[in-house]
Amino acid sequence: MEAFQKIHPLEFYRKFLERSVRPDGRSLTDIRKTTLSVGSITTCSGSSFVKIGNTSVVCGIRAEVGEPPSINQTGIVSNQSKNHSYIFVNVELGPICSNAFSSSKPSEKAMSLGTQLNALINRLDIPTTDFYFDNEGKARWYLYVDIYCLDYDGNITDASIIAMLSALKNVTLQQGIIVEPNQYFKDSEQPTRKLSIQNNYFIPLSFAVIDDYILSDPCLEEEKLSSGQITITFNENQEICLLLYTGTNGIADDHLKKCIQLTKNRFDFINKLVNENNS
Amino acid sequence: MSQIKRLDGRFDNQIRPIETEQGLLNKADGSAKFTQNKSSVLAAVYGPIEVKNPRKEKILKSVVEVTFTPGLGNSSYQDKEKELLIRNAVESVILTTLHPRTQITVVIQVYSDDGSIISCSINAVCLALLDAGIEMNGMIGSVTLSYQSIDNQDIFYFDPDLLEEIESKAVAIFAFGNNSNNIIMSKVEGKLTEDLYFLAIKNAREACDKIIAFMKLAVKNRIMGNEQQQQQQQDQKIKKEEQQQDEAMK
Repeated sequence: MEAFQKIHPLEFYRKFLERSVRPDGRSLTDIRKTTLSVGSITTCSGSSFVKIGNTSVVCGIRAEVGEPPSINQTGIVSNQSKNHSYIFVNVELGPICSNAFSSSKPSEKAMSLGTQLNALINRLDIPTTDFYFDNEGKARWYLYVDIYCLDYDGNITDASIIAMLSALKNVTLQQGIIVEPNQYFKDSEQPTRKLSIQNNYFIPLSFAVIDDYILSDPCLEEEKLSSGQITITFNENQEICLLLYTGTNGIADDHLKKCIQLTKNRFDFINKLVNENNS
Repeated sequence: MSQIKRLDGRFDNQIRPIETEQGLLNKADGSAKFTQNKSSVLAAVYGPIEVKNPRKEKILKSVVEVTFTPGLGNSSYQDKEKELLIRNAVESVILTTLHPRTQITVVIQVYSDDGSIISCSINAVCLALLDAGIEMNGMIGSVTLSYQSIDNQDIFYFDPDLLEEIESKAVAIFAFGNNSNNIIMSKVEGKLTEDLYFLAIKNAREACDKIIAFMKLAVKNRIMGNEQQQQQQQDQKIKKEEQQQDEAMK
């Protein structure tokens, strides 16, 4: 049995998939147990820890004060400053989480995931005033989101998105005063505040395609065997924020429809999970 | 649906005029340039060659490696993601199992980026692969759509330029093959409802068919010569024969 799994992993999986079950006992649409805890890193402005099955991800947010880019004297906002971001996401997939990654340079996977998360975060539409350090916004808070994977057992995208979102909800920023140029002081008398991401959640779900079967929340083994991968992220208004299909075989529209439906079903669970932990 | 004029004078469902050139590089096994107005990309294909990094070697199929070089500056994280998307898209049309333990290297150099650069690159790579004579199970065409809603009207701009991409609510990139209806690659970024997404797929499929048809014509012209030239040559031939006949009659 074990030898068969090692020598013909794909054949081994097919035997299970034919009966609509996976080797770990899940059905094709079952999602592994997802847990979340926030604020566990006290030296960070905001932090979270997410586990989906054996995949575990830590996210910490560091806040720094900086000056915003100057607007042209003509008053025309250039393209770059229009899309100016106050949040920067970095994903680290080190050798600790899997032997697939090396410590020397960031892997392709980490880089593309980082790009996707950076693009996603701009869709949160957090008002610029939330990042103001002083009242006028002469200096602003910049948030550096660092996501570290500790254990890589597939579906890192979902874990990262949930971690990023709940850590951002956990961020507390302090009001400050600028005495002289370049002299910033935190005003401890003012109350700390949070970012206004009240009703703007991301609901992610990833899938792996093996033959004609679509597996929700794939584990590492399944990701390796798959011929295609789908990631769908919805927001609160049931709009697609990120949809990605890549694979060596094409996919039919109906399959995508099914995946979108499954992602919608996950809506309430994620909402509850993030809300409960941040109350 | 009424047609909407865009800033550059195109209609909403109009793609920019395509210009292609194949075989411009002398060292590469295949190369192609794909230009759509100010978006211009050069792709080179080397392969199948021996695998440079033995760790990447695959026993049952060839490794496809894609390098994306931007027109300005060094390659960034965003470019790595583009590489990944392009690689996955073209890998699905290359018959990788034909040459196990080999590598197919694709190098993309951007001349200038004015939006829809991933689509441009995929199209360029497809032409370069054809030029290199790499076995494929079909052709691949790609198109980018950007979604805008103006006065509560949902509009898809086909093949958006950089400004349209920045100002859009969502950008959707699709790749389709010519031998099946399935989606080969799809990426949506922004905010798009489900219904609109499937409308976008429908639109993109039609646009991709047109692009693939163009690429077929480009390849045909390269191998058989331009049709107009052929026609002219034929006309000249007929004229010569007629002259000869006239002379013979005299």
